Amino acid sequence: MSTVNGVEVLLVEDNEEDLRLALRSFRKANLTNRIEVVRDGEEALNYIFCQGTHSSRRIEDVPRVILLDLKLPKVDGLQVLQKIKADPRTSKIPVVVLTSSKEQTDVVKSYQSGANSYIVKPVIFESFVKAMQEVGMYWLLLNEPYR
Amino acid sequence: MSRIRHWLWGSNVRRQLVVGVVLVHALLMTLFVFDLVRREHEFAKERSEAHVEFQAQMLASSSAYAVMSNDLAGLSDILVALRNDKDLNYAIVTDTRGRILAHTDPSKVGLYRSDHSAILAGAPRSSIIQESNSSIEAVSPIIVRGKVIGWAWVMRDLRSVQKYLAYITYAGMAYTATALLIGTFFAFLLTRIVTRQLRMLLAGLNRVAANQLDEPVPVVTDNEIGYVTRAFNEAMQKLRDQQDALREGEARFSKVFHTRSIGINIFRLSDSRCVDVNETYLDIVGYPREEVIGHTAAELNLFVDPESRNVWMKQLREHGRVLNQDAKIRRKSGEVRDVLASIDLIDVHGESMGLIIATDITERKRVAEELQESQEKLALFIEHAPAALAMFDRDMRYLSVSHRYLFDYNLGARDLRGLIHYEIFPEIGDAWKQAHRRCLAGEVLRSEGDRFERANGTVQWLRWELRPWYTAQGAVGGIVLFTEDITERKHIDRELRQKDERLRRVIESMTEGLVIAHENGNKLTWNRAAIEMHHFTGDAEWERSLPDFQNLFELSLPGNKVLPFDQWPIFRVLHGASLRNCEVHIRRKDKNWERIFSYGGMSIADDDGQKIAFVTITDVTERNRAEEEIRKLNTELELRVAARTAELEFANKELESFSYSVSHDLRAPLRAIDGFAQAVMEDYGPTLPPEGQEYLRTICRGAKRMGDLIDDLLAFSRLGRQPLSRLPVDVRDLVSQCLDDLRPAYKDRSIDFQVAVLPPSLGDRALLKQVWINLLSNAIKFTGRRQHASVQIGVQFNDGKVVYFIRDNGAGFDMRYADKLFGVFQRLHRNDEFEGTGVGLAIVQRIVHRHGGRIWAESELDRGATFYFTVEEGTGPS
Repeated sequence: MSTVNGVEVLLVEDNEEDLRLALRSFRKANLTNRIEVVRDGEEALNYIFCQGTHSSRRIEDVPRVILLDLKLPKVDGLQVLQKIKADPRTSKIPVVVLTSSKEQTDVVKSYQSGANSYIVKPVIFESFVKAMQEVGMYWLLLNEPYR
Repeated sequence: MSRIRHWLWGSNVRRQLVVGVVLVHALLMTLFVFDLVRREHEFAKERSEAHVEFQAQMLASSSAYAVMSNDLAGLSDILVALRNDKDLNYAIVTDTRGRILAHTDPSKVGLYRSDHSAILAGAPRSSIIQESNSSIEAVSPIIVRGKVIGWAWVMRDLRSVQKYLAYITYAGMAYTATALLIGTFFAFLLTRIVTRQLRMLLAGLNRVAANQLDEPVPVVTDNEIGYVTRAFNEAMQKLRDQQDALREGEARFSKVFHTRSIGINIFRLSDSRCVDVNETYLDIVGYPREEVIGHTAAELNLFVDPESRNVWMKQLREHGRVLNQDAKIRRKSGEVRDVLASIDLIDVHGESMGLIIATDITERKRVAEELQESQEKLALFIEHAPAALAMFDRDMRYLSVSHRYLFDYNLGARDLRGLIHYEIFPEIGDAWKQAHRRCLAGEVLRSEGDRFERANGTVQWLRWELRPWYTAQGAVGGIVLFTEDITERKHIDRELRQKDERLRRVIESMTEGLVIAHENGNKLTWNRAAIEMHHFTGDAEWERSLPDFQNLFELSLPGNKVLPFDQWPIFRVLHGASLRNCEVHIRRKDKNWERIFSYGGMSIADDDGQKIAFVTITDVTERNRAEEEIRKLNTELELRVAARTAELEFANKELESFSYSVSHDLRAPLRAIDGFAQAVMEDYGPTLPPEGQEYLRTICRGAKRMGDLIDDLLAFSRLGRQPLSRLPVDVRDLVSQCLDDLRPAYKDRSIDFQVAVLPPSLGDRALLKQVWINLLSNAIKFTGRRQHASVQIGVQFNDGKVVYFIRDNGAGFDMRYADKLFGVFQRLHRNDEFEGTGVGLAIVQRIVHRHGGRIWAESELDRGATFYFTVEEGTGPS
């Protein structure tokens, strides 16, 4: 199901600065070319479910992991998360929730909606790796070429 | 002849009397008649003689002139006149020579009387010259001047006289006969009266002779015979008494002799041969009479042990009697019987006889044994009966008692057998003794509850029953006494009564009305409150019978639905429904009165299964009105509260979204500042002069501090909204957990933690943990400059309230600023002295306040600080 040239990470982030910091972290880890960035919830859903501007994409080419900001324009992160986890085709994609909030309610709601991990911004590489470890075998097994 | 004489003169007194009377009568009357006739005869003769003489003299004197004058015709006239006398045979006048001068038969004149000279011899005087039964003749001289000139003759016929005499005789005889008849009749009558008593006496005598002494002779006269009769009766009575006595004696003897209960044998002492026996004796020995009479016991081989007979005979000779010896005898059939015998010496016609009185006691022995056995059975039964039972004999001696009896009367394990009841219980009164006697006479007596005061002063209440028990012979053998100690029950009864009384008082003093109804009765019981509640008029309306109330009241449900009578609460309860707060509108039909009553109730079944309904009534008219008002007010209030709540909720929502925005959006620029400062340092750090690097670090610190401030502020604002749980919290465990969590902060330091035993508190564990964490981390923080830091965690009790405290020997603070201590962002130290946002204590205070507790602190600058807090409401100083 994986393709060598497939997207490894789908990053859903609306904040320009946060995005740049995150990409900087990934760049430092040589992950740039495998990162697809979408800037709001709607676009994220279009990408994942191959709709709209992403309708040419095949739904089978799933990303290895989705980094999802919660506070998103149009469709917020939790709704995106719930839709991913509700569809059997996408429900197995690991989703790491990115948020600037330390609110307990956000954490609880995210996990209840099926989030695989939860990272508080700023996304520095160490905490990202830690999150990936929490996401489990998917990442570790599939990540082998990049180590 | 002699038969006639016997018949006449026989044994019959009456007849003798009659015959005697008749004979005497006959004799006397005959004599009397004879004498009378004779006397009449004499009289008639004398009269005839006198008459004839007188006639002659009259004739002589009347004819004297005629003769003298020789007037024959005159003479004849005189004589013719005499012819009227029919008894006159003839009258004659003669001259001295005898010549008939005149004659009543004129044909004879001139003739001469032949007997003239013979008759007329002697002196001339009148005389009777001839007399016979049939006639009489007298002659009288006719004298003139003394010279007889002739004779007058008169002859009279006596046949009429004879006739008269015969008549007299006949009459006399008739009278005699009549007298005899009357005499005989009266004699009969008389003798009948006189001899009646005699005859009765005779009959009595005859009866006596026939030994019939029952009937006394009736006494009908008062005379001597009556007296004799009475004496006779007395004698007969005596005789009868004697006879009765004799007969009774005889009968007694005979009865004794022929009694069925004892056998009698009379034998001659000289040769031991039997003289007489009764039937019972024969029954006992089983021999026919002829085989017993004239024989000895030895001959019959009567004694199973012959020696016993010899012993008896020896005793009899020596002591004159043998008393109540028993022996076994062998009947003719060979059967052996037990006999009880006594022998007495009696004298019969000068001869010594032995009188054996024997009883067959085989049966009695057997019965006695059986009785013994049955008595023992009864005694055994009584002994183990699970009730208090005692069995007595006729002398009120114990035969047996039950264990329960011993227990009930505290008699221990005594053996009462043979002891007298009244010795065991000297306190038994006369009434009970009387009852025992009556029971021994066959009565069954019982009492449902008697007070029995024991000698030691304790009082027992007893239910008892006395029953005679009977021997096999049907006689009262004694008493079985059953008792039951009902003292406890009495107490319970009294308690029940007291409870009843209390209940009654409670019911009476209840402000709630109570009406009690019985399933089959129209009478209701009302308590005072119920009566007052219905505002009955004075004439005790509540005493009416149940059906009457439907004319008095109308009950309706809310919505004016009138309740039919059988749907009234009291009936619903009677029919088994359980009511609660059943509100009913009640209205008087006869006056302006209406209320709203709330009914409750339930029914119970009494012992007979009859339902009793208890209906409680509360007048809720006023309450309903008040409730209505309250409801109205509440509705208003609720509306206001809802409005306020909505406002508050709206504000809360806004605050929440504000906080959320703060949490996300306020941090985003900080992240940019921090993140890019970091990026600069990482990417270009080496190219920067040290000063530039320091600036970047300062930027990062500022951003981080800003982040901390935002976090604390958010945490603080969250506290106000977070729901609070109240559960027991083990504070000791909580403190040690906090110390563990805080370890990284002090792991390189030497701090002396003293933790006392801490009581649990009631609250939200997570929030309380925040309190402890904050206070402990403060203590750790502010002792940071102490060489020997010490933190004391303990508890005080103020007015019984738990006050936790945390005391440190750190920097402390100036009490002048104590009021600023718990404010948000209020700091008493500079950040370069001690780091902090100034929110920690504000959070602590808010948590404590939310729990209803208080927090305060005591300190002196540089001398450490002590923070006190309580968790429960209203504790600690204000």
